[in-house]
Amino acid sequence: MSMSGPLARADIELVLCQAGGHRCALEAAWVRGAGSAQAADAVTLEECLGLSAEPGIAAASERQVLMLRGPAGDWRLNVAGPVELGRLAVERIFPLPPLLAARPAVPALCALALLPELGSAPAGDVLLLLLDVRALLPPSKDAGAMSELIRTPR
Amino acid sequence: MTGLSLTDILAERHASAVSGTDIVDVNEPSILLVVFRLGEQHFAFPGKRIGEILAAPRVYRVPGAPPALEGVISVRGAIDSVLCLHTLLQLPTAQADERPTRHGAVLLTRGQGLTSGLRVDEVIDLLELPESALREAPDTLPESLRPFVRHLIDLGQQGVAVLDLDRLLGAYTEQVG
Repeated sequence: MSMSGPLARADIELVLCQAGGHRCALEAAWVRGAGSAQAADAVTLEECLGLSAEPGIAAASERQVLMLRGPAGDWRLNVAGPVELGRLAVERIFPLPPLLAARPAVPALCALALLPELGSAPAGDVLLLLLDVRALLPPSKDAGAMSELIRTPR
Repeated sequence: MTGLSLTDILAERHASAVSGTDIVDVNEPSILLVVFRLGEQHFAFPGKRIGEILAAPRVYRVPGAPPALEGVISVRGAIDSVLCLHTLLQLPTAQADERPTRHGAVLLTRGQGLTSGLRVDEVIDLLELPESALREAPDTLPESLRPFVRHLIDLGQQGVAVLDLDRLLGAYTEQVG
């Protein structure tokens, strides 16, 4: 699908992670940083999305904590790795199909994209779930200090 | 040897051809139907509402989607939803378990500003029939099918239920499916 106008060549910076075996992305503008998942009080992305964590993937990948901006202050989100910072062309982002948008079981799901699946044979695509950070439910407690906070390397 | 000559055969064929039983009134309005199978049952949609038939496209699951929404597919660079008609029509579970997930087809709907895929087990045929071949749906239909079946047609020994696409999509969005 081709686009025209000022968005045709634009892209957006995203933080990629996983939840319940699904590839997910958050708009990087809402992510202040990432750190190792040592804080037990951070809500998990799977909990926010109503998903169960896939044991195999959880064991195989390191979990990290993202520090997110929120209307009531920063809060922490525990996600499955690998956590990566990347850019996605706007033309690859699609709003939810009408029938999916009509009955949203995951309120934070706001768009979809298909990414080339690296290392697959034959090559295929993987579905990327683009999540609206503002629609994720932050924990009620204060985010607190996060001394191990680091910026995600680019 | 049957004793039949070619002349006899051609005469017989000619007689049956002009007997009138198979003559179609070309002035009668006709309808194009896409006939497909779900389990052992045959259904159809009006052809004008089906834009394309996709053979076993890859379906991507979406977490949290309702049971009737199988996932999404990539169609020439766009992303469309795929509804599972089996689930939406509440067909018997045993048939749902046996339905092929990789070898079925997806019908792409069109019109009324809404595009979606519809998962079927197998596309049987594209038929153009006179509208007089459509029969009213009987009251003996299963209750789960009754709201969605507009007509019945006879295809050989097989009855085919012609579905109302708008009612199906409406039922889904109203959280029936």
